[in-house]
Amino acid sequence: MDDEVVVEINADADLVAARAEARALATRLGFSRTDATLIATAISEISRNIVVHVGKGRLVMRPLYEDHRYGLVVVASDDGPGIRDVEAALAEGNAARGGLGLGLPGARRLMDEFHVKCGSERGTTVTMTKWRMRDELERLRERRDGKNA
Amino acid sequence: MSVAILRQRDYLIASIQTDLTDSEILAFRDELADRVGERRARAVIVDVTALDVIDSFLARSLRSLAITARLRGAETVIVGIQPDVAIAMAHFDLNLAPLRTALDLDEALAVLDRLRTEATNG
Amino acid sequence: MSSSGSARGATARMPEAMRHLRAGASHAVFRSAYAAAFQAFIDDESETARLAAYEFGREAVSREVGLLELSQTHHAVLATALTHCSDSSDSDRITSAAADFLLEVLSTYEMSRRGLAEARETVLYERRQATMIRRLSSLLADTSLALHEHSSIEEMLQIVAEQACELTDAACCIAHARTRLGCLDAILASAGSEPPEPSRIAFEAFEALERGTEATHAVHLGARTASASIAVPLATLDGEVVGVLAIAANGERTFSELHQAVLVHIAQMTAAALERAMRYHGSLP
Repeated sequence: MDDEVVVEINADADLVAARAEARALATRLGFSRTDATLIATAISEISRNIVVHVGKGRLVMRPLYEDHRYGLVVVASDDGPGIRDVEAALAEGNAARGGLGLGLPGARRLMDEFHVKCGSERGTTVTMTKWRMRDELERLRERRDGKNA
Repeated sequence: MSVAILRQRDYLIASIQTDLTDSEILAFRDELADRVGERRARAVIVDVTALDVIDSFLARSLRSLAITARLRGAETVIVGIQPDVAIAMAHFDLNLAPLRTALDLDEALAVLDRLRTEATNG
Repeated sequence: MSSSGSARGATARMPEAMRHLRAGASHAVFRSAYAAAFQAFIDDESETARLAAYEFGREAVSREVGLLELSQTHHAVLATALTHCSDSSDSDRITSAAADFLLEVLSTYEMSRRGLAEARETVLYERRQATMIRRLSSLLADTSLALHEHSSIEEMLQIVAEQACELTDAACCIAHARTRLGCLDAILASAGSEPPEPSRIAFEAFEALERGTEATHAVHLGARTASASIAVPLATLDGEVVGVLAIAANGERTFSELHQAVLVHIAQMTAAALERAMRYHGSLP
């Protein structure tokens, strides 16, 4: 399934493209306006982190189709110095830059699944997923339309 | 309050009225351990007459309490274990020492008095 | 305010609006900043404008603009915009755009809100940890009063192992002490899930420590069946290692620096109590 979307993050301006692609994909998957906005926000926080701390990175987004739910997964990777203490970075109350506690932990709170992995020498990969439940009606409709198609 | 802690002479008597959650059990254990230290109590008597079930977690916590109390110079006696509960507890493969048991409060006090006499004489 | 605008126009107006938005700014100032950002969005609902709206929200949060004020301001600004619109389709468009604008602005508030519950949990957790350490500390300072049997040292180590296990969220903990230096008389206590070969782990820990570790350091043991294990020495005042405290974790867990610090703290308290007890029994010169 070639539904994968790649966005290179090199500057602030790239946040727009990342958000737009995410929103489009979310809408296609049937996410509500609210959820689509939360996804765009999570992507903004992660991308901004990349721009500010590393300079460049990339986002890869793809849809997930399961029987009871649809999902959108975003993999953000960079080749920066990595995060020394991932647990601390994700922990509540981390005001490293006198910040608002947004950034990594902020994005995590808006998504359903969230993993951070650092390479042995360098590099960071954040994988986050948001799900949308499909109710009986939707699945019935899909089966019906599938038969009629 | 599901646990009442009273003081009689230099003994502490704690009565568990209802089933406790795991965190309540730990809090109870810690509270009692504190009191033993504070009051320099010579013994703790825990009354479990009201309990229908004593699982291995509670048993282990009571044992832990007994050890802590002993380190502070106090003995711990459990009273009021119902027959069914006693049978179930026999299935735990757990050494409960230095936890002691007695049928009721009177017997517990008798046991403790005897221990005290032995300690002074022995 | 013009009703046409390019993407560049939207961003150009945003910094202007934000410059006026400083902490504690009066309601009127916030309202005009909000109105400017709102208008920029209404004129051009591109993703660029959405990004600007989200940035506005971020600024509002960082300057601690309250939610009630935000909500009131939004409604006031929307009402004003609607009175200026030409027909019903225009008012529909404005209302719908207003909803999207608010979503973007509030998304940052949503991130903060969700953080609150987590923060509360963390505070409770840390408070409980502090209380537990205080209790253990007072117990260990106390125990010399009642140590009249050899088994009491074992009981003390048992309590230490249990507390250390709970305080570090470890799967298991081993407390090992040599009550007579150089002799075989040793005590081993463990808590948590029964580790395979506890005496083996204790032996390994001792070896690792005897290669020279200070009482303030934790040593990482080679992972065997555990995903992570660390050991800290129990050392007397003159640096003699008389015991070891080791914890192990399962699954993919590792121990954070905080856990290590807690373990070192407990080990130091335990070593002091041990030393006192051993002097009391004449096991130490």
